[in-house]
Amino acid sequence: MLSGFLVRLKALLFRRRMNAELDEEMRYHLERDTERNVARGMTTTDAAAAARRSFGNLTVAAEQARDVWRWLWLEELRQDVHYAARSFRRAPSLVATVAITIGVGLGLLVTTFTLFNAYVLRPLAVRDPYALYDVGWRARNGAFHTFTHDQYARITRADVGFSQTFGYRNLFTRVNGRAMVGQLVSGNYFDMLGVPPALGRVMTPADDAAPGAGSVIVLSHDTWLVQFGGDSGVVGRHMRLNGVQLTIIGVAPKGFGGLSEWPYEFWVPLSMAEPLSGWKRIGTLAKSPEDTRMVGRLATGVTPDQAAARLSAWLQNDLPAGKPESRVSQVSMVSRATSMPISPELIAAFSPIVIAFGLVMLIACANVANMMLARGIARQREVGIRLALGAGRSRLIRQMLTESVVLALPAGLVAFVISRAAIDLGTRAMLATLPAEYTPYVRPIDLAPDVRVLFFVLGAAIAAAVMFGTLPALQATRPDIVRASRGDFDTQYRPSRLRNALVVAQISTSVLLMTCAGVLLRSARDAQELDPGFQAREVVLMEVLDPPRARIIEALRMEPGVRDVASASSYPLDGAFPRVEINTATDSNVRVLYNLVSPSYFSAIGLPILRGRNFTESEARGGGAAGTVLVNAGAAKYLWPAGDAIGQSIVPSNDASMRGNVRAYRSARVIGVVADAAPGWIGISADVPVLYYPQPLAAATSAIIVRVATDATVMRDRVERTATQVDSGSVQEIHTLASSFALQAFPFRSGYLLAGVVGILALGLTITGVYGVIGYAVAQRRREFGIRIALGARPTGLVAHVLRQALRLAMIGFAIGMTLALGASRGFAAILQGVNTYDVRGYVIAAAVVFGACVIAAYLPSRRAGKVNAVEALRADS
Amino acid sequence: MSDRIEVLQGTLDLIVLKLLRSTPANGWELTQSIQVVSKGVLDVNYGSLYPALRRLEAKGWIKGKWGVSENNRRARFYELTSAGRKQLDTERAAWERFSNALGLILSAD
Repeated sequence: MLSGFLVRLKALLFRRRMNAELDEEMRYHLERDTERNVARGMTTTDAAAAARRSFGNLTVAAEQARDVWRWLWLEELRQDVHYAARSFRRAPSLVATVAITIGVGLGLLVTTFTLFNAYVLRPLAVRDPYALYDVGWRARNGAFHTFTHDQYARITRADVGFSQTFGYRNLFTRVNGRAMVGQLVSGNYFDMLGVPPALGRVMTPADDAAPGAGSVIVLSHDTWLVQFGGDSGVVGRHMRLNGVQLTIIGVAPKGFGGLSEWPYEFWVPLSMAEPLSGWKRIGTLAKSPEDTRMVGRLATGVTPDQAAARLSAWLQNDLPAGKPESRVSQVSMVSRATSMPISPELIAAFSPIVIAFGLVMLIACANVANMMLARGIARQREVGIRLALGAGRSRLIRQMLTESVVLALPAGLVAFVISRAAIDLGTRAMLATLPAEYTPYVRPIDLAPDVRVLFFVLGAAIAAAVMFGTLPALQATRPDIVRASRGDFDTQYRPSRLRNALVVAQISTSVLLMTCAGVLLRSARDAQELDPGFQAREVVLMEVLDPPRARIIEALRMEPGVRDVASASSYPLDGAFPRVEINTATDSNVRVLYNLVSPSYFSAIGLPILRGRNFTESEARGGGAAGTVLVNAGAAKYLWPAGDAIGQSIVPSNDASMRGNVRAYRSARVIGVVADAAPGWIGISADVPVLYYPQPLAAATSAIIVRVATDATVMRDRVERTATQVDSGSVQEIHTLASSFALQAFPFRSGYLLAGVVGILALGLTITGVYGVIGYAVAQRRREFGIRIALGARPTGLVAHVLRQALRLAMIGFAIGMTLALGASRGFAAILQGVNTYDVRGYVIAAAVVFGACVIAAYLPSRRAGKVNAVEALRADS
Repeated sequence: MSDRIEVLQGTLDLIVLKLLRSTPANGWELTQSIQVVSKGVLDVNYGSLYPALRRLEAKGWIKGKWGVSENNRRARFYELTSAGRKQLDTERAAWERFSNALGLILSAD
């Protein structure tokens, strides 16, 4: 098998030499035979003739011998490519049109693939990334758990199928007024991942030996370059983090950002958790918090399932006996081989984009298929002759597909260039439109193309060629083309039918995409004007360390320009509020959202109390002991649809798995109802039930909310300065509420913008498609129109005739597209709350745009039908 | 001429393999050997020998090398590979079974 392949390969590469050798071999045979004949007494001429006779047909033998070693298909392919390239050199406009049409559609897909590749496919540059798994567990009630530090330490020692494990926590902080994100990691982190230092040294287990010890820090390569100017003398210097002085011991290698889609900027030993967080836990409630996450390296021969089962058994044994629903249900193992693990959420988020881009690609393919059909009709004489001379149909189809592939390759190149430009432009646009406060957090990973991207471009270009080339190739080589090439059409020959079907498909898809874009763009405008339910302007949010908290609050209250200071366990707009299960007199085990707030919270963010009263200061100081709670209007209506909420009691379920701080609020009486407001995330509708429990202003680990008198952006800096004057390095995060809001609206806005771009591309391609088809139909029927005019038809009547045909196509496409759009809306309605998917105006606008565009695209070429000169058309040999 | 038998398609491969078993040979020598060994009974179209040689070489059963012929000229010599040896054994066994069976049928009644 292999030797045969080598022989053929040699024959392919050294064809000339091989043929010469064959000739020499045969010549030798003839000469030797002649010699023998002479030796037997023949004359020289007779001897040569006899040798030839006994050899048989020399040419046939040589031909047969040559064919044995050839890959016929490969040579034919070479011929086809050569032929295609030659014929396309004469039609550069066709090549350019196809390259741009397919290139645009393909460019979108290549861009998406480049991102997908960088985040999901490309393995991280660490030792054996495919054995790394991030581990957590889920209780029977669905709550997700990580590990206590003590549990982590014991799992590391136990044999649960991991050869190594490291523990980590993420740390958000601010250094010199700049946001930074890093990780607290166990001492074996760098060793386990096989990551060497670029400068100095990396962390070792000795640094992480005892709690509070090891005040060292390793910087990422980017941080080193950006913040320290790549100074090689940085090792040994000190930097303050959350008020703790740390020694810089080294710099991580270039391109290493930890095991996440989010490149980290520094690493500190896990032993520094207490001093760095400065958190005093609510001691009596949760004596050992589950604040440690864990990544394990599977031991050789252990599958993820086996490790999960063993860890599950270990946890069953280790966890205290509690309510059945808080027992372990499942250990989750998330691969850390790439920046982003594939998850159902990821697929759900990206599939609409991929589907939309895929549809644009299909429209582009339909356009090119129509061009190829037209080309096939122009070539039917040639094809007919070849078929009549006995060329195989499959051979001709293969030749035409080869032509399509030759056409698609420049399109692939265009697509690649477009994708690079789109990524560059997209990154810049994102940084330009994101709220400025958040841009320091955005650190895109390396998006340079690699081998996988290049293969994708090549593969997708060939797939596109098959898509736009197959139908035209089949159509152009129909057996009855022989008759057609003689001009002998029968009634069944309707080449326009296929082209019309393609145009209808294009218009339908275009209507679908435009309608989705129209609906989403209108919602985008709504989202920008969206009312979160409170006064987002003139509010500054801040997270500070606990020790100086009370002093910072005092200082802020003295600050001129500060109107109100409040605190809350969850930011107003920083991800959804936590959930709690509650019982009331009428319902049990209802899941609702909650937030712990100081009494000043409502006035600070401008959330009106509709009925009843606010917490008193003494209730706030009492916290859970006060036994009072406020609910939002949505909760009041949901929990007590008939009666009055005020005076009712709410009891959180006594569930060990619930967040500790709510269990303190054993039983509470509703004392007031506040207005509905976005519960932490603008994607959630505002009337979702929310409970507000009281807490003191200086409650630990809470966000500080400051209402200011003037411009929040200016005041943010004053607030930060005031806090750092009290204690430097105490501010961990600070934002204006307005930019938190803008950040939450950002994905919606960019998604809608993307939908708009896709819609416009689809429309543009459809217009060119309609224009091309009608234009071609008019050109094809020139003779017919000439006869009609000669017989007295009015030019306007002919134009109307062509337009009517175009409109019929548009109507059919329109009806199909609308039906599809209604179906798609159902799907969207399930995913996007707050988007009115049955927005009539969105539909009407989109439909009008597509319809109008189709009419204009059809009108321009149809005018030519009226301008046909009867005499010329009849004389011309068409 | 009428007493000579044309070589069947496929049996030429077997003949070539058998002839190359003892010693390497060039194309012309093979045609002579066929004549001599079959006592002039088999009629080989010499032209068809060369496609057959290439087919066998592509299958890896024989290997061609340029060498010097007995009259001191450059000629291509073929030798049996170990795969060719194995192939010869199987083809020969198959052939013997076939000819035995044919003999039984023809000698029946």
